[in-house]
Amino acid sequence: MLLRLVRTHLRPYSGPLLVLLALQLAGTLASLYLPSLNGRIIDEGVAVGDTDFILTAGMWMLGVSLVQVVATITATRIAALTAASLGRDVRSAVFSRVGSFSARELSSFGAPTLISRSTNDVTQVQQVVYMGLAIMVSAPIMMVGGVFMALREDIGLSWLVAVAVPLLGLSVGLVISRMVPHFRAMQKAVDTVNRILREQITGIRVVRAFVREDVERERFGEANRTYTNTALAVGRLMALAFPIVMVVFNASTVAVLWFGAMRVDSGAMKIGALTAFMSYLIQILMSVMMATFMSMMIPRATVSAGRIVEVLDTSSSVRPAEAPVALPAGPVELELRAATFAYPGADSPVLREVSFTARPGTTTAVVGSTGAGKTTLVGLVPRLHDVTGGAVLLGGVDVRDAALEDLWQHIGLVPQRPYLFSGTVASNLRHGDADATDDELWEALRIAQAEDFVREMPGGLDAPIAQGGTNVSGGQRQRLAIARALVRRPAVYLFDDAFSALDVATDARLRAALRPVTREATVVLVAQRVSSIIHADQVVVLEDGAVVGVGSHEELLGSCPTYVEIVESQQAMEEVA
Amino acid sequence: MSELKSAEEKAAEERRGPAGARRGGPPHAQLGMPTEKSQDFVPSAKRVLGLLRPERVVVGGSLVLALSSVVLNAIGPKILGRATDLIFAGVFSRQIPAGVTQEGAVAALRARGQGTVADVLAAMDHVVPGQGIDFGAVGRVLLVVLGIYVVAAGLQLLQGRMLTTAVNRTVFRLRRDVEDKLNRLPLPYFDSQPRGELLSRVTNDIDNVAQSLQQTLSQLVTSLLTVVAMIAMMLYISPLLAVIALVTIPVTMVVTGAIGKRSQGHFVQQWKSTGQVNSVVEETFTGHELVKVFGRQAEADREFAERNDALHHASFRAQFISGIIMPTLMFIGNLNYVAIAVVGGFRVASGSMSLGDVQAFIQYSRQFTQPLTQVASMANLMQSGVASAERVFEVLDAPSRSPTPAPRHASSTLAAGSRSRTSRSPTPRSSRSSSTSTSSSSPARRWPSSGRPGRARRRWSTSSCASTSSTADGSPSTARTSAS
Repeated sequence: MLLRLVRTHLRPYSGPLLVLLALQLAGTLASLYLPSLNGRIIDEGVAVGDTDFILTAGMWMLGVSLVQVVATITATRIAALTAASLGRDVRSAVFSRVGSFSARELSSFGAPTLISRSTNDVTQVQQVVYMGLAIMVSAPIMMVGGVFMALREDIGLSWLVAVAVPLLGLSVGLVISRMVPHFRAMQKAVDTVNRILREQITGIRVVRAFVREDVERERFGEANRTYTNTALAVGRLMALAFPIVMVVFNASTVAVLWFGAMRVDSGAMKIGALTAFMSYLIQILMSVMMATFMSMMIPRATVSAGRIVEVLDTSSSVRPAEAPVALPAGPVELELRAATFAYPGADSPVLREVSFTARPGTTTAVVGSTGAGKTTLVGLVPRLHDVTGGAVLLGGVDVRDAALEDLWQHIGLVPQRPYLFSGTVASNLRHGDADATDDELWEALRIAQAEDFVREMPGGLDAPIAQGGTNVSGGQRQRLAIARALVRRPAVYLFDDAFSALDVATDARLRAALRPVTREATVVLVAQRVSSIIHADQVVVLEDGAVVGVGSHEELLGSCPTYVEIVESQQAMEEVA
Repeated sequence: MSELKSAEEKAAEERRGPAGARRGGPPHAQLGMPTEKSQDFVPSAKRVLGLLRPERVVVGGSLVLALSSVVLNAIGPKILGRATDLIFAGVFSRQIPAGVTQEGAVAALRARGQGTVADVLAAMDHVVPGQGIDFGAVGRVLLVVLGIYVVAAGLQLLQGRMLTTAVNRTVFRLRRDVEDKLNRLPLPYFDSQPRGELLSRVTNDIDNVAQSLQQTLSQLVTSLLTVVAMIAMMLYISPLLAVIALVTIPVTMVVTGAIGKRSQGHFVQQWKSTGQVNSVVEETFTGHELVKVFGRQAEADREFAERNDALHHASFRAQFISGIIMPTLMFIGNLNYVAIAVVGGFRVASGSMSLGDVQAFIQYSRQFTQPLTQVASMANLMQSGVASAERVFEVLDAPSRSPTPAPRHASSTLAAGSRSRTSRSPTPRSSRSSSTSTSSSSPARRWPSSGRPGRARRRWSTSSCASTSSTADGSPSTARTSAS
């Protein structure tokens, strides 16, 4: 997963990467050459008091280390730039992929995980790519070079390399392999902690309204403890790894001295070679250690890469039409023809062969108990998800044959949860129509019964709106969302339980004001209140995703027991209120 | 930047229909951007260290362990050197015919003009002419060294475990405090900035603080102690060469300081950009269906691209500049090495220093650059950590909500931002709690029967009783539960 993701996204940077490889090679060769130069300064310079040699070799050494420093810094630059570019590209790919998702994919992933996949997970991958390019690339070069140099010094001791390297690799590898499951647990713990914090921040009003601070604190404390314990387990294993490395390093040195002494005693090896062999062995072990430690980051990044690839490999169930048919301008008729919708793998469909026609200039109310499929039905029209059977037609055109932009231009949606974007009142309203004048905005606000409170807001149209619209009350948010849809002047209005937070009087005023504006429009509203339903030209009663009744209020009262039930329970509720 | 923006805006307008002249500016630009604070590294770093205060016993203990293991590790090479000496001596001994004394061999070498070798031989112990290497003695020395290293490793292990415990407990507390603080912040605080931004502070930034603390503390301490031990060893061998080697320290400081100062800014920028990207992503994904139906995707894409680019730039700069430090310091180390070799070589030539001493010195000076480099790179990591910590502290330091928010009418929620703390008054504690208890009890009794319209009133009345519970539980003692 990691490899696939990285390979695909590194392809555009193969040119700089080749340069990076060359630079890393040069830098590594320079650092392999430096110890032998060091040795010569001691043996041929310091030992015999040849100051001229010391000076020339010293200058030579400075030259080599200058090459090394320039090569390494340039390589670091390329590594940092490439890793950051990769991060940017992947983030952007995830973001635009999610942008193409329909409501179905979005809800099957869930917004929170998508958010952390496009930020945290990408950072993990970016980090491992940087480490790989800046440090890990040189490890194999260093190892091969070191082995070569060591063998040149003495073949007889080479078996020590063959013992020390696997010993180090195995012992560190063992520690790391025990860390991996903890890392997975840690990623999960991080997710939990972040999810809870996120819920607390986004739902802060609910938390306070229901005095849930203590419950939340306990819930968070639990997650925090789990996280801390996992981090502790990882930290303790990490604390084990370093001493192990030190012991292997030092034991190798001791072994080189012991076995080297035997070879020196038998005259098979020079004392100088012994010292050189030792420093090369250390260098080899260093690179092994580096590679092993770096590889520790890989499992975590692999998990992240998997999460990213999962998003990138998911394609939207809503495909734009290949040869779009233009929707007729002006009033259009909405028709659902045996529309069926099922989530993939689900046993029973959410909507079953729903059929009805909503004509321009009429209002269709959709009623039904919670979970009857009302919101899903509304989402079919703007193709937030597509029917899995049957069809939705707008002005006689299957919505799947229309261009998405064209389709959306025809629709004014007021969702169940009236979300507002951060910005101002005006910037939110202009999402309906970017070119609307201030007068048009005020007109929409007046109809939506939002004029008064917007006038009172500091700045009026330019009053700031917090993300989600959390700085206005629920009722105000609904009215602003209605105004946003009105600004568009669409052919089809979809009100999904859009009046629920309004008091009865405001509700009545709003519907009265809407009537002239929507005279030519097709209006579909999901409603709870009987007062909203009574005035509808047509009522569609849903039960478990199927239509159990279509007709006017009066007709249904006589013919549809489900409808009678709903009306009675609503009236009871309203009386209590 | 602004040119680009307007061009893209135009493109977005054209896609939607006839390009009108007027249009609201980009809303995010004015809203909720955290102001760029002057970064005070030292006080913030002190504050981060202050977080460790409750763990001072554990931290202190691990310091003692670190010190012992460093001392043992520093002694190691010195004793190992004795093994080398024994091997050396053995090689020479073999070359001297049995029966000839060490003095005789030295004199013979001098007579042949091999003065340097004669000096080396004269200074040697354990010379038994005719005999080879004394493997018994070498073996004993090596066993001792091995023992020392194993003990040092054991101490290091213990030290690592103690430190990781202290750090994780500290981060646990920090996270708990931040969460606690969230419950005490006034509502307008949440509205005054994008959610993703605040979220990034309490998640990404805390994680970064944890990582930096973990890595810096464990390595910084050993590296610093190693540097000290090496300096002591070098001063012991040759004060003159030690001075040359010590010049490395101020040079390292200056270089690290210069690079660090620049990278600090980039790290701050990097975490800020992360927060901003986070907030665009948050908003777009949360309002997904509306983004689509109202054709806002292009605008969201543009905004995301802009911030994504900013993050790209910031993270590249931060990573590159922090990556420069290591190679630069390695270069300084090499410069230092050449200087020592040259000066040492002259001193050997003039007979004022033995070859063995120069060799040992060079070894120590190399071992000394490595941890110094590490200290420098840790300093860098620390900056990233402190930059994050500052952002967390900003949340912790935000004024908490007033203990008694005046009961508000539902429709005035919007004005909350402008008049949130007007009701703050120095009410005595007793009267405050009694007033909130009366205000909270009566609507609470109405809850079960109240329908939708009652919701708003419920929110406000209970938020006042929530504040009393949070002030009561705000003390760390009740909420504290020890980790593991």
